[in-house]
Amino acid sequence: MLEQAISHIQQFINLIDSLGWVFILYFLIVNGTYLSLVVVSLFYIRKHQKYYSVFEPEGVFQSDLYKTISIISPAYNEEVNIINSVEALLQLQYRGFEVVVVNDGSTDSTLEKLKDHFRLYESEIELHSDLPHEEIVKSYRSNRYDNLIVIDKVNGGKGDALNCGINASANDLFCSIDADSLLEQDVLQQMLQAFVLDDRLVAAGGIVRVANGCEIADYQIKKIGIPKRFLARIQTVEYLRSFLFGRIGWDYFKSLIIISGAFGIFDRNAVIRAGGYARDSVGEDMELVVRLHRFFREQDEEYRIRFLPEPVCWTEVPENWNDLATQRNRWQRGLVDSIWRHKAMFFNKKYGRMGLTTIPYFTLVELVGPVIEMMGYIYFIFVIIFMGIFEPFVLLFITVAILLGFLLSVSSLICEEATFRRYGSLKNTLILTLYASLENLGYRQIHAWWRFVGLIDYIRGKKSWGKIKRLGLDRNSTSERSIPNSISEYMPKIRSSIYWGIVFLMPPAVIYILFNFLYFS
Amino acid sequence: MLLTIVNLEMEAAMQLLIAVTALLTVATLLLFTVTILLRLKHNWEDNKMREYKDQYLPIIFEYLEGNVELSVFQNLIGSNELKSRAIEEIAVKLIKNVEGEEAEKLKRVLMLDSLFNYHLKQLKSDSDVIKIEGCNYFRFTKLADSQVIKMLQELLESRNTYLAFSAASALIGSESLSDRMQAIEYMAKRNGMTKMALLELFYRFRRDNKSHTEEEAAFLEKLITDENLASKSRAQLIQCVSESNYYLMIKPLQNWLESSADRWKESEVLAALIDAQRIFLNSESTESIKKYLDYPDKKVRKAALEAHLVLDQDQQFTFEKAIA
Repeated sequence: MLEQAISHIQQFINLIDSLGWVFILYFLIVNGTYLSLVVVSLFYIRKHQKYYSVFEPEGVFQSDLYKTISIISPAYNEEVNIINSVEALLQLQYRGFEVVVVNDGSTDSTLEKLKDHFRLYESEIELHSDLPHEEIVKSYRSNRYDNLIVIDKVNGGKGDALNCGINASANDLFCSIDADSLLEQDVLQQMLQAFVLDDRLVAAGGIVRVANGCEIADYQIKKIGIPKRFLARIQTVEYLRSFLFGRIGWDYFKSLIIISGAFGIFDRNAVIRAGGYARDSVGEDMELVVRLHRFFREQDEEYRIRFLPEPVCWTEVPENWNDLATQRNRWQRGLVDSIWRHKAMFFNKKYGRMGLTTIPYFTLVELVGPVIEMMGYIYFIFVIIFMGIFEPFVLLFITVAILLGFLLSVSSLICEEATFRRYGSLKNTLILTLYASLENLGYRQIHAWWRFVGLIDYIRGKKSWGKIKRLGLDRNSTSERSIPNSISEYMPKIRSSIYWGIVFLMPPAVIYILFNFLYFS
Repeated sequence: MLLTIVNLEMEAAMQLLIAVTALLTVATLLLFTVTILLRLKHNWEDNKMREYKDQYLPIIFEYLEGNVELSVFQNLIGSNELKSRAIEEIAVKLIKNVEGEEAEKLKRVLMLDSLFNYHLKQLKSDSDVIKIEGCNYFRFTKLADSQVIKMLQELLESRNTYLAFSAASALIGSESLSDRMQAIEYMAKRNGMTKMALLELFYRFRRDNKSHTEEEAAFLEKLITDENLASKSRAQLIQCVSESNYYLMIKPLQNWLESSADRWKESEVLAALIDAQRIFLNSESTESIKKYLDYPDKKVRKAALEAHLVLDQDQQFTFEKAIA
C-alpha cells in the first residue's frame, strides 16, 4: 500500500517535472516578445516624437476644413470628479469643439452638481445617428458654456452612454474620456496632427499618466509629481511601461488593439459604420478597436489605428488593493470578452497580421497568460516542496524572471528620460527606479492572480463593473487619510504589511540561497 | 524535459542560467546608470539652456531695435552647440509672432554660419528624423541657397510623408514662386495627403503674399485641370483654393461648374465646386447651382442646397460687393 502511494507520488513528481518545459517555453515567448517591443520602442519613440512635430496647425484653424471634435464624457456616480473634469474639458485649446456629458443614470448627485455648477437648462437635442442606447430622460444645455451638452439617460453601461454621446454629436471626430481624467490643454491639437498627416486614420490613442501626486489647480495639472502611496507609485511605473513600450511597440507593428477608454479619438463615421460601442461589454474600449480592425479588413478598406505618445491624459488610479483588484479584474474580463467576440479572427489570414499574430498573441499571452503564470507559481511551489528549497535551478529561474521584469520596467524609464521627461527631478527618477524593481517582487504575482480571477469571473458570467472609490483629482493627498475604524478597513493595511514583509525578506533570502549553492554545495 | 531535448546536462543549464542572471544584472545596472546619467545630463542642459536664453533674449531685442550688430551673435555662439540651440529656439519662437522687418532680421539671425552649416549637415543625413529637423529649421529661414533648395526639392519625393511634408513646408518659404509652386504641386499630387495638410501648405503659400498674383492663379488653374490628378486630390485643391480665398480663381471655378467634361462631374469634385461658389458668394452661378438641387448624390445635393440658401436669398450679398 505504502509502496503504491510512494510510486504514485513519484509518478506525479515526474509529471510535474516534465511540465516544466511548458512554463519555460511560455516564459521565453512572453519575454522574447516584451524584449523585442522594448528594443523597437527605444528606437521608434524618438522618431515618433519628431514626426508629430512636423505639423503645426495654423492655417487649418482659419478655415472650415479642419476636423471638428466632440468630447464625450460618460459619467456614472462621478460626483467627486465631475465638475473638475468637465471644467477642464471646457478649457481645452481647440477651435469649435463641444463637450457632451452623458449622465448614465447616476444614483448620486452627479446630475445635480452639473445642473448647479453649469447652470443647465432643459433643451431638446438632435440625434444625428441611430446607434442603440437606453432611453434619454432629459437633455440640457448650459447658460455658462455654449458648447456644453448634458444628457441624462437611463443606466445602460459605459458603452451605451458613449453610443448616446456619439448620436448626439455631429462633429467629424469624437474623443472619449473618463470623468476621472484630465486632458492637457493642447491635447486635441496634438491629436489632430495624426489625422492631418494620414487620411486613413480612424482612431488614435494618447498616453495615460497617473495624476495621483500631481498638483492640480484651476482644473489643470500645475506641477507634475509622483504619488505618495505605494500602489499608485507602482502603477506609475506600470503605466509608463504599458504605454511607452507596449503601445509604441504595437503601433510600430501596426497592430495596436487597445486604445484606453480614458482617452482616445475616433473618426465618428468609422465608428458608426462599425456599429458603435458594444453595450454589454466591460471592455468596450478594446472591443471597439478590435471591431474596427475587423470591420475595415472585412470591407477591404485601408485604415490606420495609431498610438501617439505625446498627448497626455492624466488619470486618477486606485490607491487601495481592493479597488485595484476590482479594476484589474474588469480589465481582464474586458480583454477576454473582446477576444472571445472576435474569435473568428484567431489565426485567420483574412485579417492579415491582426489575425495571424496580434490576436493569437493577446489570446495566448494576455488571455491565457494568467492561467499559465498561476500554474507556474504552483509548479515552483511543488518543485520546492518535493525537491527542496535549495533546488538551484528553480531559484535561478525565479531570479532571471524577476531581473527580466526589472529590466523591462527600467527600459520604460529610459524611454521616458530620452523623450518626454515629465517626472522632473533626479529624486523622482530614483524613486521610480526603486518601484520598477519592487513591482516584480510580489505585485506582479498578485496582479497575475487578479487577472486569473478575472478570467474565471468571465467564464462564470460576471458582467458587473465593480465599485471603485473615487477620491477626487484635486484632493490634497495627505488630507483624506482617514483612521480605520473597522476590521475590514484594517485589511488593506494588513495586506500592505504582508506585502512589504515579503518584499524585504525575498532579496536576502534569494541571495543567501544562491550563495549557499555557489560556494557551499 | 526541455533540457533533455536540447541535450544539455543539468550542470550546463545551470551554468547558462548563471550566465543569463549575470548578464541581466549587468544590463539592468547599465540601464539604470544610463537612466540616471540621462537625467543628470538633461538637468544640466535644461539649466544651461535657461541661463543662455535669459542671457540672449535681451540681446536679440536690442538687435531688433538696431542697437546690436548681427556679428555679435556669431561671437556669442562660437562653436557651442547649446548656445546655438538657445539662439535658434528664441529666434524661431519670435518669428512665429512677428512680421515684416523684424521677421526678416530674425531670419538673418537663423542664417548665422554655425547654425546654417549644422542644419545643412542634417539635410545630408541618412536618417529621416534628422532630415526633418533640418527641414523644420529651413522653414523659418530666408531660403535662397541653391544647394539647400535642391536638397529640399529632392526630399519632396521622399516616400516618408512626414519628411516630404516638412520639405514642402520649408520650400514654401522660398523667394522663388516656381519653388513654392513645385512644393504645392508635389504635395497635391501625392497619394494619401489630407485636405487639412494641403490647406496648411496653402496657408503658408499665401502667408507672406497677401495679394496673390495672376501667375499663381494660372499655376493653380493648370494644376486643378491636370488630367492625371485623382478626383479626390482635385476636390481637395478646389476646397483649399476657396478656403484660402483665391478670388482670382472665381471665374475658372464657375466655368468648371458649368463645364460638361467628366472630370468636373465626379460627385466630390462637383460638391467642392458648388461649395466654392458659396464661399466666394458668387451669385452669377446661382442658376447653375439650381440644377443640382435634385442631384442623385447626397453630398452634391447638400452642397447645392447650402449654396442656394446663401446665394439666392439676398442678391445684394455678392462677393464683389463684399470685397468692395
